[in-house]
Amino acid sequence: MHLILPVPCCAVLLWSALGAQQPAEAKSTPAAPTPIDFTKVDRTAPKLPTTTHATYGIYLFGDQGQHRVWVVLDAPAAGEPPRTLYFDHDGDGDLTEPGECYAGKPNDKTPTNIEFPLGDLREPGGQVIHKECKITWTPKIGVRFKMLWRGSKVTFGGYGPAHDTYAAFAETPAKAPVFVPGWDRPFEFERWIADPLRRGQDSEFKVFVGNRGDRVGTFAAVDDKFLPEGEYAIATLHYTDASGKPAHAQFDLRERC
Amino acid sequence: MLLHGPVRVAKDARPGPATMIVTLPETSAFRSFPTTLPVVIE
Repeated sequence: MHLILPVPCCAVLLWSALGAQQPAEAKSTPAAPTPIDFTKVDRTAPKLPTTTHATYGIYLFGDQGQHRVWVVLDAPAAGEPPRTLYFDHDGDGDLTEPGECYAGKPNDKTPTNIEFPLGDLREPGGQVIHKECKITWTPKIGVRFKMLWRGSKVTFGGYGPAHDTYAAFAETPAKAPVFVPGWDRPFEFERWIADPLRRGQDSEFKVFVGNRGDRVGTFAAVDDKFLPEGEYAIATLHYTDASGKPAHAQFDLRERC
Repeated sequence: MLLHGPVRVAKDARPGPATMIVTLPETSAFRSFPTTLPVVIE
């Protein structure tokens, strides 16, 4: 269990001023975000320099997920660690532009993981800047990202219900996984450890808090210090009882880690 | 971040697929989209 830090009021005001998650009274504003239709994400292949073995991912930015950013890893051969990462900073699909190519380096503690530090990242189409952005290729748990969203709180991913579900980049643009970093949008949830629930017994039910991507393994989470103390989630189980009738039961998820 | 807590399924629940819908409460200072997660009852 990590230490839970209360969030000062001034920090909440700052988030609002920056256009991040708004208080509950703002829920009915016309511009309120809606769930992203991932089938409408433009998957037109990006323009690339000559590559050897490219794999593809997509990151969506903006409170409607309206800014698509291609991220492409290039390796000497299939299954080998990538040496180069291309990041479409301006979201125009052209990865041949200056400043969009990064060389990887092995992680100090786990050299099989290849890190691509991107530094500060300005969102396409806006003035929002995220800091300490880093993308890490791993041989077993997909392609990881981490950044200080708006220079403030951590967002990272992609997650799924188990380590072996974490999304890797795809061989083609058409199959590229879609990640939605950050906390500008209403939160969604992803289960962690999808064990069966046993009748008549307590089962610990755990969920990530953040944004869903287009498939299992692409969830972008906030960290355990994001929500102020006292915030919790409600889980409502919908099931069928022994007589065949629909039934439901509600539970509060108040613990955190 | 993981939010978690104990869930107790009724003894008379029918085994098989079910769904868990997760959301933040109306009292939360934050917004959420209700998220439907598949579960299995044993």
